[in-house]
Amino acid sequence: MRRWSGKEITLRGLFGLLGGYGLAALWCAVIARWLPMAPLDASLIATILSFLLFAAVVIWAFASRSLGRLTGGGAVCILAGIVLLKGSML
Amino acid sequence: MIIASFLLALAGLAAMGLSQPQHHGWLFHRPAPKMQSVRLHWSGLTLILLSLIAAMQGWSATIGPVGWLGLLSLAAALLLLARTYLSPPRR
Amino acid sequence: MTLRQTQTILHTWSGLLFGWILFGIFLAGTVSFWRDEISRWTRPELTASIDRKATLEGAVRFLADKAPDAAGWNIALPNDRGAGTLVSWQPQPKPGEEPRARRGRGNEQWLDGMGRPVAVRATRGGDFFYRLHFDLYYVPVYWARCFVGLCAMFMLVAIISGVISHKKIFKDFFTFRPRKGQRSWLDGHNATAVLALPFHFMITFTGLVTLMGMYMPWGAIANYGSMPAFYAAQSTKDLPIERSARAPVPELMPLVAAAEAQWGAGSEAATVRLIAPGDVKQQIVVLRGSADRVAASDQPVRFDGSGHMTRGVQPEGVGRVSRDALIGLHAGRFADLTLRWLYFLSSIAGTVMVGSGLVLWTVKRRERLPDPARPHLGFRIVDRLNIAFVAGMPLAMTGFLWANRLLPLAMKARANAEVNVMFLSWVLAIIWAIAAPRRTAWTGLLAATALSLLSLPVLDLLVTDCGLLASIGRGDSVMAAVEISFIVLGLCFAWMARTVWNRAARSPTAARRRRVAGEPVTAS
Repeated sequence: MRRWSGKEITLRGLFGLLGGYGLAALWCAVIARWLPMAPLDASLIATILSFLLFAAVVIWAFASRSLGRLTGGGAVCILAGIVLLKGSML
Repeated sequence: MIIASFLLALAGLAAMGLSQPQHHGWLFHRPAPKMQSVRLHWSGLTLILLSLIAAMQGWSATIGPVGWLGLLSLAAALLLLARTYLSPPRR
Repeated sequence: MTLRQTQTILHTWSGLLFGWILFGIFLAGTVSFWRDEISRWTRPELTASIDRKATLEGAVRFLADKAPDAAGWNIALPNDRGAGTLVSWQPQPKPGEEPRARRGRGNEQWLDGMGRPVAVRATRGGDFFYRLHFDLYYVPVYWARCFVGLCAMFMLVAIISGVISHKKIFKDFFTFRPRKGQRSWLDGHNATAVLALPFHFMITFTGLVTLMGMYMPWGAIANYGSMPAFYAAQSTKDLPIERSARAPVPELMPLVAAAEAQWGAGSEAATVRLIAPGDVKQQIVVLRGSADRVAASDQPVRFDGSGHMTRGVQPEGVGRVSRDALIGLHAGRFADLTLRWLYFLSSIAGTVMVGSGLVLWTVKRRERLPDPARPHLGFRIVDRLNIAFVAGMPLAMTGFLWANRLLPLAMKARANAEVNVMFLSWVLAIIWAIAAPRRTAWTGLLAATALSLLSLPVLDLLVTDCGLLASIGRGDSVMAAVEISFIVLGLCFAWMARTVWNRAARSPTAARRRRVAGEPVTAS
């Protein structure tokens, strides 16, 4: 069982912190646009959920089997979010 | 009603604890037979559920669950202290 | 690496990086559940008031005399936890000037139960500890809240990763093995964490939600384009009204009753706000208190100058109710005495959880040190920071209470001075934490806190007329309860000081240290 180097811990930590906030922010906007309710309520519910999303990404950043999988998965989530956000603005 | 809720929580958590071999062994100096263990587990869960109902009666439908969680924590803490610092009656 | 192992690494880093600030946030937040009671204790000049009608009439009389041309008046009604009524007024802005914040300096006054002004010592009271736990101090509020939010996220991640990495969470539910060094610290950390886990998760998550407009504006911006637009969609702002002709201020008690009828049975008004009071175009807004239900929205009811309701309670959608409920859960203002005590005990468990986690890190690492008498710098820093915060901050907080009693009443900037005394005490505590040998450092600070708390009731007997016996005699249960709590807390700290002194002498590490140094191993 290999031990993590300081570099790996730092990279996972940065992914979790920066990637986590970015994904949470992006998907907060996506959920706010797509929730089938009044925009005021949708914005509030989406914002409340975004913190859980942020925490989940940080957990994932450390639980993921490899850094490669992490970046790949992260990229997919970002792209999906951007597509859905653009789609909601049409 | 809140006191009732607390006592039910205490009894329920105690029952669930006693369904575990290490706690049953500590109190009764012998492990519990499998069926009794299962019965203790489920009756414990039932008592805890009744505790929730009592809490909702004692406070209100919305505040009840919040108070119930607080009572559960307090009951669990008391059981932990009892388990740590009290000696069970000798055989 | 298994999931549990990855989460253990995450948990350690997440908890340790900002652990000391989190300890401070938890400690200040814990005492804040008694915010009104502490505020009451810090203002012994005020006595409990219960007659709302007399309070309102007296308040209007005072404000009409003091600030008849104000842009607005604010009357905070008394409740059964605090004492006295705080009124404030907002001066009419000069043309072209921005309307000043509601509570400008010098624009507020305490009134007694009959609405007469009372000279009260300048103090922040319980509000100081409340604000401390998210605004911190000496730093701009915006950056403090950003930093506290970041810490709260670290806390949330620490809680979740802690649960995932806890292997025997159900098996070890009632487990605590005292006097076994590292094992005991881990058991204690686990017990305080798991037994009040719902509270810890709730308080951390709801803390983030309370300031979510600042941390995550993206949902609001996605739908409204900007935060101001989002806020405008939720409530109407009270803009100052152009004054024209004078008109008498209406009777306020019937308006309060009408608002309470709107809100429903068991509701209670907390604040009455007047815009352009004494003018034909005046408006009166009655705001709801949060003592009777979880959702902490103030549901304003508006009236015009002749007492007609112009805007009743607005229906709130699921989003607003959710947000208000989560904020309400965090503040806990809905809690009755029993529930408030449960909140308080759970919060103490949380504070102990954070503190024991920090200590556990050093206990664990110390056993692996090659030479316990000469640990590496990183270890020494963590070790001393632990003492400075876990033992130093409680002592500093008692410094605030002492300053409240001893600083001269007529002193300038007295409220700020009390806070400065607290931080000065903290600096002295930190110096002691760094300079003294470890066992003496811990014990000294804990014992000093005990002494400080136990002497407060004695001090009160000497310098105020709110000593314990006087309060009991007067039937002032809140004051008496606060004093008794100081005594009980003082005894707890005394017990902790004694335990640390005795344990540290007999710990396995102490024995190892003596062995390495060539001394006889058995402790004296």
